[in-house]
Amino acid sequence: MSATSAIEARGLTRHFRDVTAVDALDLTVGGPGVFGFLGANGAGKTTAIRMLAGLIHPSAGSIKLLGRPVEKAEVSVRERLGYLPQEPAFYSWMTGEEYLLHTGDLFGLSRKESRARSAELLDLCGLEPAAKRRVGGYSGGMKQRLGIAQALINRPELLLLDEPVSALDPVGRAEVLELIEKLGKEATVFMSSHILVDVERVCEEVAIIDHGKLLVHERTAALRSRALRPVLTCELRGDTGKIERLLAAESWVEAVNSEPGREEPDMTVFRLTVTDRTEAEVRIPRLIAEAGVGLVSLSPALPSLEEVFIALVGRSQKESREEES
Amino acid sequence: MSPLVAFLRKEMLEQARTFRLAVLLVSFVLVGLISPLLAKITPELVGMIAEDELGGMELIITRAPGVNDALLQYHGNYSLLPLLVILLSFGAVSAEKSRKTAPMVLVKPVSRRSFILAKAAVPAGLLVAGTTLAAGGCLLYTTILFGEVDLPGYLLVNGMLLLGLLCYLALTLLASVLSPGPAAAAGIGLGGFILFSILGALPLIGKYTPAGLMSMAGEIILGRAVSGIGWSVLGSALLSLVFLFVAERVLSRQEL
Ligand SMILES: Nc1ncnc2c1ncn2[C@@H]1O[C@H](COP(=O)(O)OP(=O)(O)OP(=O)(O)O)[C@@H](O)[C@H]1O
Ligand SMILES: [Mg+2]
Repeated sequence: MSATSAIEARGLTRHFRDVTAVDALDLTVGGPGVFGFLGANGAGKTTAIRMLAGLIHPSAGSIKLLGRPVEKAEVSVRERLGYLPQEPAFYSWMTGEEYLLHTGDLFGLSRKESRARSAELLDLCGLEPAAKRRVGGYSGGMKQRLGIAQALINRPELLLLDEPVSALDPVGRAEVLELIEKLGKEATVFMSSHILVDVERVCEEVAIIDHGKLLVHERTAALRSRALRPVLTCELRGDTGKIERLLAAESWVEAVNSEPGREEPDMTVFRLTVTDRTEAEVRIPRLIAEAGVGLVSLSPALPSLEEVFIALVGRSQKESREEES
Repeated sequence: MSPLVAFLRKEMLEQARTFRLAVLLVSFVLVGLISPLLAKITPELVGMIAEDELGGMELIITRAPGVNDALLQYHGNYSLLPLLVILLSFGAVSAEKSRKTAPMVLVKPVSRRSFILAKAAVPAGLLVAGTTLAAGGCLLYTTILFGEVDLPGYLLVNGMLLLGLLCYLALTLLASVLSPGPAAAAGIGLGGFILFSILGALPLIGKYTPAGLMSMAGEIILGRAVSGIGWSVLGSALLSLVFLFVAERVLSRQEL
């Protein structure tokens, strides 16, 4: 079987009058797995996802979903697609259960299948208690859960989720993220978000866009270890005044932060930003020996995705401001 | 269940749950039943009022009301139904767009053609059912109150009225597709109604409009000689199809 990408966008561009919401975006998403699509407010995430879903037309560029061009909006593609808009909307006169049954019908499921699948999804998305209530009376979080449920009814191969957890409470968010992670085992889940701890938890791969342009597209782990200088944490016991001076004098040390150990008062935790990790790993034990302090632990730490995001997007926004002026 | 059938089902449920079905059917039944009654009591009412107001002055009513008066009342009342159709259906597509329910449906394997088809078929079915009820009711009461009605003529008149109404439905659906939201759709729909009412009164082209068709039905009741019924029917039928066709074409390209 030839490997077709779940999403293949080439030069994808969309203008709204004088705003370029998406700017020559090239993106290939394989699968299965969970793919994070990140960007600040107004970066162009929703616009890109709506183009992928075939709801708005690109000003330029092309999109293939599951190997088929999306402009043709083929039924065969839409049968294998699940879509959750940023603000899902429903017929307020239907109950949650009726909406799911209706969605099943639209996918051509038999009534029996529809019923089984709806019951399963109501349970999975924590909507069982509200199943027989009118959607018009649902809270924001309940609507988002129903939105996720309706996107899953056909067991899609490709799921486009525009901020699937933004309206959820912490417990709900954890539940849905767990669900997304599970879905990612079999399907390609493409989710936008700006809640980076969530993305960090479930997405193996991320793309960050800013002003409609792709900044990076990488595996999450690689991005975290590459994008910023490596960080090492080092727990030491004893009088650490000397080692602090010694570390600060080394050329490969960029920054030294220290704080007292939380549990043991005689311990100090150093967070070192280094330019050369290999050198650091060789030199740190020698400096510790020289200073005569006890080494409790030395371990590499990764910058959080949030730190990476802020660094990258911050840099890109600074550059575009400079370009303008 | 095919996607089209599923969406048809949803449209029918929606008509019922949002009380459109009830409003529509009650209106039709009222038009059917009240028209002959009005024809019967109007002269008596006028007589009573005249007696009160004019201090017992005798008003000479030249003839007793008959079948034709009942049918003319019916025709007059039925001619108001296009407004009801516009008011009940201007949101059919526009509200689904502005409330963002349309994109939820149209990313699923429902074609935009099926979407429009269902949006047209369900209310059209209701108009057929409603007209049947109204015509049946009017026939019954008129026969009881005034005597026998000429059946073939009566059927022709009702067919013409129904086709006119369906044409207004198609017009409203087009307005609903063209507009980003319900307010504009209502505006275009009512504007179209007024435009047709003016065009319908014009010589030569008037009879090809739904307004012309519906007023021609009135002429038939009056027993006037009318020519070109076939052309008039064809005009409204074609116009309806064109409205639907354009609505489908526009929607198929529209951004949601
Ligand atoms: N229909 C529209 N008409 C005009 N401008 C639009 C339209 N939709 C989006 N935009 C503009 O395109 C840009 C990108 O918007 P988009 O909604 O894609 O951002 P986003 O990344 O999803 O933001 P958020 O995180 O706030 O959801 C913004 O500048 C926005 O104002
Ligand atoms: Mg958005």
